Amino acid sequence: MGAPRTTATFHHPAPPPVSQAHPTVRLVTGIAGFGAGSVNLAISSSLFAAGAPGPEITAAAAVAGLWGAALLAGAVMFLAKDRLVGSRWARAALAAAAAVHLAAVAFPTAATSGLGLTQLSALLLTLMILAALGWLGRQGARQEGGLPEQPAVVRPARLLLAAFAGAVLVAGITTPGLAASTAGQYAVPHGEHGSLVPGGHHQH
Amino acid sequence: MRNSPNRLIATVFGAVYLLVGLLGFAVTSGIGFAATEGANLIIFEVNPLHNVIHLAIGAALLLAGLRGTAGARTVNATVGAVYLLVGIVGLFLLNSPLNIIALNGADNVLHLASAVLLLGVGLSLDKAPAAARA
Repeated sequence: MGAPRTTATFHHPAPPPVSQAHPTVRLVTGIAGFGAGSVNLAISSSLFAAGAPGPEITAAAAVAGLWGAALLAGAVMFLAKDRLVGSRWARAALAAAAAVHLAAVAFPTAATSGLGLTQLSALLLTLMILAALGWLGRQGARQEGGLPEQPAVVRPARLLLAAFAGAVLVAGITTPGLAASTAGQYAVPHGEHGSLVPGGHHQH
Repeated sequence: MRNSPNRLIATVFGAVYLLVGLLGFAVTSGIGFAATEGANLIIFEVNPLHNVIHLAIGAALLLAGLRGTAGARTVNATVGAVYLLVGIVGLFLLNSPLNIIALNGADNVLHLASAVLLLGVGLSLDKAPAAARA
C-alpha cells in the first residue's frame, strides 16, 4: 500500500534517481502535518474552553483533539518511516477534514464563530498536505513505472534552504491560526517568560 | 559536515541561537531576570531568562553539529520536539507560562519554523549516519 521508500542519501557514489525537490517536498509535507496538528489541537482547546454548551460541542472538541493528535503522529510516521504517502485512507481522512474546516468557515455556529481564522489556517494546511501527498504519489508511480528521471545529487545546503522557506510558510499560516484561538488570548509573550500573570495578556 | 543536513542545520542554528543569546544580554542590561517587560533585539522580544535559554539551545546544537551526525540528529529532533510539545501542552493550559506558541508575531513565526524544521530534519534525514560522516 505504501509508496516506495525514498530515503535521501547525500554522498553516495551512485545516487538514487530522486529529484532535488522530492526530499524537500517530503520534509515540508511533514512540517505542514505538525502545523495542521497544532491548529486542530488549538481548535479542540478553544471548544473545551468554551465551557459546556452541549454534548455536541464537547464531542466536536474531542474529535478535533483526536484528529490533531493523529496528524502529529502521522507526521512523525511519515517523516521517520516513510509511511502514508500512498495511503488512500490518509487522503480520504484529509479530504474529509478539509471539507469540515471549509464548512466551519462557511457556516459558523455560535460556538465556532470566533474560530474562523483558525479553521481557515487548518484548511490551508490540510490542502497543502493533500496536494503534496498527491505529488509524491505521482512521483512514486512514475518511478515504479520506469519512466526516466534525471538523476540528481541532493545538496544539503539547498535542501535546507528550501525546507526553511517551506517551514516559514507553514509557520506563517499556523501562527495566526493559533493566535486567533482561545489560547491566543492568554499566550505569554516571549519577553515575559518566567512571569506568571493570572488572567493572561489577551494579546492577538 | 557539509554532507550531513543534520550537522549543517545544527551548526548553523546553534551559532545563530548563541549569537542571539549573547546579543540579547547587550540589550537587556538593567532588566530583571524574568522581567514582565522585556527588550527588543531586532524582532525578538527577550529578557535575561530568554537569553539563557537561547544560549543553552545554541550551545547544545552547535556542539552536536560539530561532533557528529548521530548526535546532531538526536539534538535536532529533541529541541524541535520539546518546543512543539511545550507549545501544544500550553494550548490546553491557558493561564500557564507554557502557553507560548499562540501569539501572532514575526518572532513566533521564526521560533515555530525553526522548531518544526529541526524536528523534521532530525526525524527524516541522515537515516544512515555512517554514510553521511565525512
